[in-house]
Amino acid sequence: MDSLSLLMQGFATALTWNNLIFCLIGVGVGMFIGVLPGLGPVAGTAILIPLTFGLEPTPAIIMLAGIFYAAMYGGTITSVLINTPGESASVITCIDGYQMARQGRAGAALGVAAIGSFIGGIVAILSLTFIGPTLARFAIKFGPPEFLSVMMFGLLLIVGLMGKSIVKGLIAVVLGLLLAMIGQDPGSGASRFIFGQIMLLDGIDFVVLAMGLFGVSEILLNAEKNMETETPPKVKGLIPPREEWAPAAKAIGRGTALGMLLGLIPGASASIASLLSYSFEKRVAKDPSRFGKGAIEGVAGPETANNAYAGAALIPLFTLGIPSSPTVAILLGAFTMHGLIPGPLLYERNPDFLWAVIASMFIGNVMLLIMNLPLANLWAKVARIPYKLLAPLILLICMLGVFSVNRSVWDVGLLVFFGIVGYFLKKLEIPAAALLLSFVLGNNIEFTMIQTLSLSASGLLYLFQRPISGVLMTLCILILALSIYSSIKKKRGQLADDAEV
Amino acid sequence: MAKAEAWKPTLSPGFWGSLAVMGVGIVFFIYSLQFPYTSEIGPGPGFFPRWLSGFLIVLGVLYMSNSIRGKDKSEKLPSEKGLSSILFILGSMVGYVALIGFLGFITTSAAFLFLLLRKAYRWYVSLAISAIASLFLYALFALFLRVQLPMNGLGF
Repeated sequence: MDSLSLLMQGFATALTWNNLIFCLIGVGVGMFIGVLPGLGPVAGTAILIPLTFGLEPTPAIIMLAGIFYAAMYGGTITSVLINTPGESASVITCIDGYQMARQGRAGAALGVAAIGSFIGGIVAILSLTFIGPTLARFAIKFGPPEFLSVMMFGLLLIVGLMGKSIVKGLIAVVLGLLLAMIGQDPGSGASRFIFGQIMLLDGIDFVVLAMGLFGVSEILLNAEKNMETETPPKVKGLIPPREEWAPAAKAIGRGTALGMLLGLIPGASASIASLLSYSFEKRVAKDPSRFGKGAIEGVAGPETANNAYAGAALIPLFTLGIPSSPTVAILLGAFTMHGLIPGPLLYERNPDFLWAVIASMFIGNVMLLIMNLPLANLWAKVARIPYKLLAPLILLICMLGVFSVNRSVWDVGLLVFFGIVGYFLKKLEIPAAALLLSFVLGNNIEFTMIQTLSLSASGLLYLFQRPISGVLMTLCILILALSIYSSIKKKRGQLADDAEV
Repeated sequence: MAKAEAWKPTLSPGFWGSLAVMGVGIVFFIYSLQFPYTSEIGPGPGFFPRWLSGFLIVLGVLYMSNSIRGKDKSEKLPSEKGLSSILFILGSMVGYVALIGFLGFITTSAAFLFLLLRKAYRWYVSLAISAIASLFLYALFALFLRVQLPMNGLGF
């Protein structure tokens, strides 16, 4: 059956009342999380995972995916109105978005961001619909060396793109891999690194690590800052003036292409997509000096790019089973909790589930367009919920969520521990996102590496003897060499940002 | 005096961070020696951890040398006021973990929220928010999602 008819079947499933409601809850919560500064999509998705335990896999993933792409919409509102990014992919929108708001053009900024986000999101899901199956058929032929090299490529790309120091990026990756070794070794059954604790036999739960590193640590960091909320201005007129249509449309087009491309690469992130789009817009502009003074392209481009990214980032997850960013890693965790294995076989084994999720993303984007265009003022009010009230509630929900995963108070203690670890990682600028991703991939990396080594007579050199893994490994070395070169030349730091906190 | 100044960068947060990284690497390396390096199919359960922890120690040394040479200037420790509020939050969380088994979910959660909210609002407002939020979360998780939450001796 071709993709289109499968998609239509997906729509039939996604349009049932039950799934529609969970899609609405997902995008609503995602908007909420996006709007609230101090709570990003990673923590938001992790917090809601326990809520999905009682659900069927389809509504569960529909809801969690909704949080992910909706947060990209929500983050814009506070960036534009009160100059405070709701999540890190909207940091760059503050520059021109807030300037536009100060000139009384907040409506136009939010309008163009919503339209751009919608177009970027829809185009990305279309590519997921039509490119995904082809890629999956291709990926079915992958053996352990290919998977190993794709994962190494993704991790090295994160190290290369994120953080100010390559040493710190590598430290994060290795720490994540070592944490993944805790518990029973899947190969031999030996229990490793449990330090005498029976509770560690099953390993560290992914939700505990994610919530500690991204939820609790964020609250601890904010406790040092003054988190007073500003009163947002009233939003009027969401359609930009006619003379801005053409430049905005072009920026949206470029943002879509850029975001999608980055979504396909394991290891990029939504923040990187929006940052690159902004600098690209500035470069192609006839008069770059307008940027920083309320240029509409500076809002349209990045906001489109981060949404296109969010849709396209699901392609590597669905086709290869490899998460490309921390939030997608949490989705992967949710997949496994519900007994689904993302990867090329997903298209064959669980087509009903898969196409329903894809269809729900079209529906979710339409819901978001409605939420963002006529209801922008309502969301601006959400931004006024005082942080002093939110922070204790978020902490309590984190603890409760972690507890409900295994009904274990020990896990809650571990959450506090990883909260402290996450706090220090952020203080020391060691990228926690890289740690989380390598933790998720850890067991798989070890497993594929052992398989590769047992297949080969020439050790890991075997990776270079097969065409696909050979190309990827060469790229890995290239990335590493370039990162080392740029850090010696002190050109790093332009993209120094932790992904999707 | 000059000597003291020259030594100052070594006490930067990055220095302690690199020590911690090395420490973790060493602990994992020693621990990994317990597991066989090879197995019938090739690499054993000790293979990957040993290489990883060895690599982590090397990275820790590189980090330390960068830090001593003063390449890291952006790292800061919390201010005194920030530190006390962080410790207060952490203390409340540890207390929560310690007490929830005895006092039950509702009481412990309400107490936890009240502790953290009490400076922000008048005491009766904080108390009301804490009680309502705890009851709501109990209803959501225990009644709706059927998660078994810890109870106290009185059954709540």
